[in-house]
Amino acid sequence: MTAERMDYHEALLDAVRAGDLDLTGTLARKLHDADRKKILAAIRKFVSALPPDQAGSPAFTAAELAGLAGQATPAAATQWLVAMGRRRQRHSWYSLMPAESLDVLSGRDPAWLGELAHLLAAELDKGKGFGGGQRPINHLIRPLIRMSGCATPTNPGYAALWMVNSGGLGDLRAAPETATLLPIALEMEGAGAYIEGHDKGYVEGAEKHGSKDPANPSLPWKEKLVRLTESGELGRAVLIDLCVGRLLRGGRPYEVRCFRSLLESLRLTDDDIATRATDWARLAADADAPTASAAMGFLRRMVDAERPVDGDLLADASRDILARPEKALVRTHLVLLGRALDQDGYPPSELLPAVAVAFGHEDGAVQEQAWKIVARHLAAVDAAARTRIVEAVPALTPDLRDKVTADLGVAEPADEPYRETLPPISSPVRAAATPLTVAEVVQGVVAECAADSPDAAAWTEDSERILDGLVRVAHRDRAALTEALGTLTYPYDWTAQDEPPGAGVALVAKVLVGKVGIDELPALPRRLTDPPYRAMDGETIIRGVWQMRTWEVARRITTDMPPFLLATPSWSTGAVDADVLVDRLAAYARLNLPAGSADFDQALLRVRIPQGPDREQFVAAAAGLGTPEGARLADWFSGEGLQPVEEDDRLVLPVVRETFTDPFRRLGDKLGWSYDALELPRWVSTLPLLRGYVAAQSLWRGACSHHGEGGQWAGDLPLLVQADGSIGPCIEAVVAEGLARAGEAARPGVVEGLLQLVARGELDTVRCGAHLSQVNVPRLRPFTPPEVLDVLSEVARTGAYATVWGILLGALPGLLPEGRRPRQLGALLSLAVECASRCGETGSITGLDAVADSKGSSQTIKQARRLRDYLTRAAERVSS
Amino acid sequence: MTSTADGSLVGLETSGGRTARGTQAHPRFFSGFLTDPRIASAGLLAVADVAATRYYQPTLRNSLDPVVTGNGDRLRFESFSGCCGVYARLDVLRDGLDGGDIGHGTTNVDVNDPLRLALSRIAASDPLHLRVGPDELAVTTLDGPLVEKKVPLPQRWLRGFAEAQVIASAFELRAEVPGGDAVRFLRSLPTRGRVADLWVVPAGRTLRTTSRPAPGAVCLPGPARLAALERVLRHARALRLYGPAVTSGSAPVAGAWEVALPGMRLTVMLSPQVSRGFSGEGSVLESLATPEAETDADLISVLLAWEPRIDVGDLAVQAGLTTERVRAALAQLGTAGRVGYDAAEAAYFHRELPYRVGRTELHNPRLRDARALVGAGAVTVDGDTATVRSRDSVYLVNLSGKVMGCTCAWWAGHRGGRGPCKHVLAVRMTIRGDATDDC
Repeated sequence: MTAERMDYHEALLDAVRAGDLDLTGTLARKLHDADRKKILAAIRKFVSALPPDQAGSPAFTAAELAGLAGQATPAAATQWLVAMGRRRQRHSWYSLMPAESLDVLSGRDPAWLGELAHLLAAELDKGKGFGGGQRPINHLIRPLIRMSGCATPTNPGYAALWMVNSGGLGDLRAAPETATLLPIALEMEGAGAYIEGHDKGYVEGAEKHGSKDPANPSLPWKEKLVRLTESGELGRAVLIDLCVGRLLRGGRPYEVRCFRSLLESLRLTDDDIATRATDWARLAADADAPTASAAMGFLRRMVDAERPVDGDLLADASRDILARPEKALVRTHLVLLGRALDQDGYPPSELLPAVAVAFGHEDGAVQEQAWKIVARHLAAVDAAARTRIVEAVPALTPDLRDKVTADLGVAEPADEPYRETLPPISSPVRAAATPLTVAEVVQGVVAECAADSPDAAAWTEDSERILDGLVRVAHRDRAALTEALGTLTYPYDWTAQDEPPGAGVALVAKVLVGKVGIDELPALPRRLTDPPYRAMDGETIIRGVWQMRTWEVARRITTDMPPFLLATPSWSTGAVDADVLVDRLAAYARLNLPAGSADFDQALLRVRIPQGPDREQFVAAAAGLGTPEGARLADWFSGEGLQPVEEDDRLVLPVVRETFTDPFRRLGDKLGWSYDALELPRWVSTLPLLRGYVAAQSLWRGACSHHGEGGQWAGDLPLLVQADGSIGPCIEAVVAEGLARAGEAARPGVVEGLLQLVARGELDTVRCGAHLSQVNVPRLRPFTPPEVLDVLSEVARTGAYATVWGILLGALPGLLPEGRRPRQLGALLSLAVECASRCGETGSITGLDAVADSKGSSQTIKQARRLRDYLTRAAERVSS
Repeated sequence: MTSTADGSLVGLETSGGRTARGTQAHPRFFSGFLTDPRIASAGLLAVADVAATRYYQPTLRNSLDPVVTGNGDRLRFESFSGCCGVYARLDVLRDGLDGGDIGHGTTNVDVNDPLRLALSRIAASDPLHLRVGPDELAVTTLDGPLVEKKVPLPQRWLRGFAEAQVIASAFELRAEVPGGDAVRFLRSLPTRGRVADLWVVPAGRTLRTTSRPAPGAVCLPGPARLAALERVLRHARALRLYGPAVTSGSAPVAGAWEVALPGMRLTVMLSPQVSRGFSGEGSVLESLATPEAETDADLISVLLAWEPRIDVGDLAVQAGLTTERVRAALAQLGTAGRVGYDAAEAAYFHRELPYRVGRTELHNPRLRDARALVGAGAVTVDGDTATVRSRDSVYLVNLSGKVMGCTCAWWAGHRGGRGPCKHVLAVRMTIRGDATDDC
């Protein structure tokens, strides 16, 4: 190396050290190819020696510039620039490359620069989002293209970036890239969402920020694109094809919407539409509902303009379109087919079998519309087509099918006797076994502590087993259990903040390991004694029962050490078998151990009172134990047990008032109302022998519910149905409340509960329907009550048509009077016809004549007439 | 893939794969027409839809290539969703293929936007020519440029393939309903808002959802994840549900939904929860390799020849092993994604992923952690209980029950529903005494 070049090196490194960007730029531009490697090595060494706080200093930036000059290939320069850009973006999104970067590069060969520009453009394909990438890099690409004179990159990422930065309409018209890059950008995922967002922002901010220059106005993108097609910079056919292609490809609704409205703005001519008939047919068959609707509009225009759509194509597409679930789309298409058939040129033999696909639609009104079209043109079809139509007839609802078979003159299919499809009766299952080893119990405690609910005092079915497991294992080997529980980390217990020291399984574990002292345990839950809570609402009492039980266990587990708990359920509902309780008390008697009062009270509420000849035996066995608990159990067995009594229109349990402890005895009185959500599983588990009582309490709570709680309790209806005791007179109203209030999450539970009750013969569906028509659910945000139509359709779909008919028979008289009509009454009436005709039921509905006789052509009136016709015919058939 | 109505060509570009003749750069193992082009393209799009969707945290983008396997008498297209919680497979059977020899091999297909568009456009009357593995350009239907996006299969996809087949091998047919009723049922499912875990039971001719599991029920967690089936629904001849045996107290489990189409089957398999991907299910870990099964697996893998249905009896005769050992060896091969399980035929099929899978289970994070625990000597076994010390915490693992349980929070959350936790694995390795050799 010559001395001159050595000096030059030193001068460049001095400029870098001094942080003189200007000088660095000037010197670096003249760097000799042979010296690049050496300079790069020197710069790397210099940068690694810089202290970390110098990362943004002028010296560092100068080093970056000199390093850029040291890159031998465009690929290496790209990596260097990407790293530079990333450092800047980390600092601030608005940062750019130093202005001298282009100076540094300007000494290079144009081909080298062109390759660099294309490589940087290719980096954009890796970015997320439309027109994204690195801002510092983005700003380099265009100047590099200019400097090198290379061809414009045509990768999607660059096209998107170009589109986002393309300026006003005048700029677009002047740019030579418009015709090439715009279509590429518009093909990219995200283009639609970008345009929608931009145009929405434009409408909001045009006044303030838009360009006022009439030659180069800033306009919404959709308008710019349409104007570009008018002035010819962008091909009209290209844009239309592109929009259609994007619609065919599908995507997110927001993305697709842009191309739909763009098509609308392009005002397609009849020729534009006619040349793309196949695409409209495919879109109408496969696309999302709004796009399908738009495509059907184009097909309709073709039919209206008497530009025939190919018959095969229309028939093929119609088969797909009429199989779609959306009622509005199917009806619109049926209108279109009706019009087409009225014109010449559409052979009915091809189209009518396609129309018959709509016979299988869920909605009766659609089926009727399809049949009317078929009936009008039936005379013109050939034998083969007629056979295909006849084959589709069984899909019709029976009342329409009867009419159609008569009109077609074919034999009515022999009806099989109707059988309601109901689920097998579900019975409670045996409760899972109590964990018996230290490790199993500790696993249970961890699960209880880590449960998703923030409420560690929460009760679940598992809690009962684990509580019993803790007692059993502590009785056997307390030291080992305490040691194992000591290894756990206990999460923060939020309930303890409200009511120290908390409750539940976690609390018992904490008492065992000494984290909570026994003297900290309260005598009664605070909410049952403190003034603001003294309303004695059911939720607080039921919750108090669990609190009291766990506190009692916490006290006794370290002192009396009972061998097990008396109240642990034998069944999933919570019920305890009589013999099990007698055996448990016998074991207590052998140990000479008194029963815990809360534990024994709960056991008595759960124990199944023996019936029949065994009863005396059980009474004798209990009495023979010779303990006070034995005597009490004998009394309990020989008495009437839990008998709810009506007081002031409310059910109460007087039997628990005297002999039970607090808070059990509070269940004897009328319960107050609560803001807390109704926890049906806990109610059932506390009182598993009193289905009717719990139903009455749920109803009272549900009926008083002013706030839309989404009817979550209703999802647990199957559990209530499985419990013991008479179901009581309230159940129809409870089910009606559940049907009217249950949100999406609770719906399967309500349907299951309803079907179980019907299968057991415990539900009067007509009464349930009458209650249903009276339930008034306010539409309060964010809770929207479910559509009863959806729930009933779901029940009908499973094959329980008679059940749904019963409910509608009860509900319709309350829904038909003017002013009380719900949304979608027409569809409810249509469902009623379908159910009644499928199960061959009949009946009379007050108020139906008034609706059917009124003038008009709404669905409500049409379907009311259809229902009346069916009922009249059915009544005639029964009487004949 | 060729749409010959206007003489234009669409090709399925393959990206290197394995065939019966060894690894090839551009394998070609099928060339022929499809019997029902509309339905086949809808099915293929459904598989591609799953690959392009995330059902959990849907804001993230996803774009991956379905894997295609030629099995001698059928073609299988398989994919996972981006969240790995949905597995889709389209089996094009012999009836669905019209002419053309079906070779053997596995590769992955790039279903890019132009191909998607071409498939969407196919009408019932257009003949559709499928050619898997051409040497020429990918797409020539459109005038516009072609965007090729090659995405390598991520580790979690590979783990997903292994897990899905282990889980599916416990499935049995639980319900079958005719096409019309299936459509009505699937369209009645809630798809919006917060949907609780559902269970599905047969009800007469159709199906019914319930909120609680019961014997014979199939779990349906996140019904919105069945959306991909919508594409083919109106061609459905029947819907078949597969799932493992459940009881009334079962936690959510995986289930498979198969739509029978003319000459084809589209199966969508759902993970037990929307937030759970198949890759993390850990069922592979349950059958952690014994040295014997590994040796057997090596032998069996040599004997496999892209069978559409692996006959365990035949294989046992060929290998000179008992059927039990062959089954264990197949399960072992499944953990490396080298065989799949077809619940419809209740049989394994041979598939070689076009990637170096190695032993997938080696990369499992839980297994790695377990090895670290064993390496650090954290495990003490004492009778029926083992103690695992990890940092400041101590965990107890009970060995007496049917399933080993642990006192860690992870176990508490899943109770064995996602395979063993790292502490249980560490204890098993210690008891077997082979853990350190495994590393």
